[in-house]
Amino acid sequence: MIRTAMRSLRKDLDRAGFFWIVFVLSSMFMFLFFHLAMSDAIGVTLINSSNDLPTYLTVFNVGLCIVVIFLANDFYVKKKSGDLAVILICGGTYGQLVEFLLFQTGILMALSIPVGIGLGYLCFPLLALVFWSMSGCEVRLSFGLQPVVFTACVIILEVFWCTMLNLGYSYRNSILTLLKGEEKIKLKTPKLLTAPAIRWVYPALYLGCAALVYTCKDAPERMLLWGFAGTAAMWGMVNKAVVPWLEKSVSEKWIHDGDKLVYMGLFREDLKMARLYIALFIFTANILCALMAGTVRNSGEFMLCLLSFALLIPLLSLSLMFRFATEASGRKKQFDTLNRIGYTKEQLRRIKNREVLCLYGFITAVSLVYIANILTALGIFHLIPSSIGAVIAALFAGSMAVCGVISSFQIQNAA
Amino acid sequence: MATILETRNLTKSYNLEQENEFEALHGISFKAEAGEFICVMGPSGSGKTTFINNISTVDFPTKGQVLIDGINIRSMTSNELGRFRSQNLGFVFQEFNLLDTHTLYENIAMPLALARVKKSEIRPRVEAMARQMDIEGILRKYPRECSGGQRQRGAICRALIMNPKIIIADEPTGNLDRRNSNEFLALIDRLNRDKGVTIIMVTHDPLVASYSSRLVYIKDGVIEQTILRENMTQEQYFEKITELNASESRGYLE
Repeated sequence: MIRTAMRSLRKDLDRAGFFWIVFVLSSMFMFLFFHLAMSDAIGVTLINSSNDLPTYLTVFNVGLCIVVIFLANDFYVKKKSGDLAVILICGGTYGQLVEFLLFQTGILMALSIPVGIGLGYLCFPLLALVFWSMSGCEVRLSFGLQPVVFTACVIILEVFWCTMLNLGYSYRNSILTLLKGEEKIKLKTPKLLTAPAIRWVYPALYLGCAALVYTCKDAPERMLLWGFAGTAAMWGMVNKAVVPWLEKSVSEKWIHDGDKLVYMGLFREDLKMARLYIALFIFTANILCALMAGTVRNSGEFMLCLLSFALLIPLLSLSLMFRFATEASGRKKQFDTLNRIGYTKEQLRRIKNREVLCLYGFITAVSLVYIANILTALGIFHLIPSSIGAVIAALFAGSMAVCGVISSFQIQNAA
Repeated sequence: MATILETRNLTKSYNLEQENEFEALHGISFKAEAGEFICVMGPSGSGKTTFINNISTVDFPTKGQVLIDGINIRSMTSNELGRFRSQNLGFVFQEFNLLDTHTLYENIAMPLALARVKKSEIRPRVEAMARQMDIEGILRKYPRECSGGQRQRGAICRALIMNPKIIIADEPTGNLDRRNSNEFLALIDRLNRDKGVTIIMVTHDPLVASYSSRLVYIKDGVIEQTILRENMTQEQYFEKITELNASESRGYLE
């Protein structure tokens, strides 16, 4: 079984690589964050913890890392369903499936925790310097056991739950369903919610909630409410307004434009994958900005929020980038087909670039509507310095731009 | 009849100058006249798909030449080749090769968009073609929502929408049931007879091959035999093809 698991890992190296990188980044981020939060300057202790802001922030950050790993696991295991079916056909038991799955995630975990902690250790002096120069609080690099233990515990627990989840997936599905792989179930939405007039309510809600953050001068924590409502509206907007609009436009408006017909069609599919990431971007930015507004008088806590933002946004961007790269690398056959029906290499290169531009441009624009408005409102209310707001917005746009350029490079070379 | 496609001493090798270098085609010379319906048969691994990929500009020979309408495909730039493919060749594959990210309508419209056909002309042309193939009602569906037969019809619509001079088909009925397979063959036959489209099709099925006007049998990278249908009835031609296949299998028994 161990040999089969190894073979399965090797067979899907790109997806396994994506999963591994997510593990590495998450463990690196958790290690850095635990180290910072548990330093004398901040003083978080998870044993006998107090209900203060750094503790909430720690829980939020760890929770987000767990979500990112779950997303990567889901993406990884769907591809493994064929292997699971073969084991069951050959007479394997569910116990052997546990062995098969646990071994794969176990190997990835074992290879990622030391790398993540090592990278975190290397990055720590820079982080401590930034922290000290901006907050005046000194954080010393002491290779404390607690952050390492907590990071390892979270990852090990996550692997355990991922394995349980994966096993549940194979237990719920028949061998035939597992063999067919990812089969999407079309969920029926009540007709009222899909009526043409209602569709445009979602964008209105999305923009309306962004505008309402300016009404929270006295209670910035209310921004959280508008942020959550905006995230839900964004979900509806992408599903019920943007994707149907793209469907209509590709079939009617752009049907005579060879390039646009292809890249907008690809973008339409990408959006279905990316919407969860947009929700995570808005959700994270929303929480961290609101927390920042409440901590502006405590420089240590404020910096902790800022650094969480500086670490979580690139983590999410990278996670999105690897997910997109893994999906795009499976499109070789599609591009070969396009080449056969007459698309030139130059056209295909252009199509790939524009697809990446549309995807990253859309995610950046849709998320920035919230990030920029929340930050502007906080700046206007003097809850955070305007310069910090500009840095945060630039950090987000910069992360997306860098990941977009790397994605473009990857997709050009993959297919 | 004029020669529409010709290969001269076509040789294809893989893993050149490596330990596992392998020559899949050994100097094949072949001619297809305009309006012919040619079937390519042969055992698995004989080089049929390599042959079809090379004559359809999808791959390039290691040695020798491929000429379509007298033009050596190696003399064209990649952009010219793309345009040439879009205007002259239609492809149908066993795996359909439709873009899963696009609806059937968008898939079929792609060659038209590529040829810069006016927007107002695209819908009527796609719908007319879909009507012929009986998929008019499912044009808004994605390939993953269609059956194998429907997907293959979509792929055929895409191959035919530009009225190509040559249709290249690699095991087009491999994933179809008998009814869909027969419908496909009747359509191909009609195109060949009524519109004079040249068809070159790889198949394993003697019944499918019996629709052709010439059978090319490839074995171990060379054309081992050619059977012309000429005045034979389809049944007689079918028997001859079956005999050829049986003698091949018998050889393994001995």
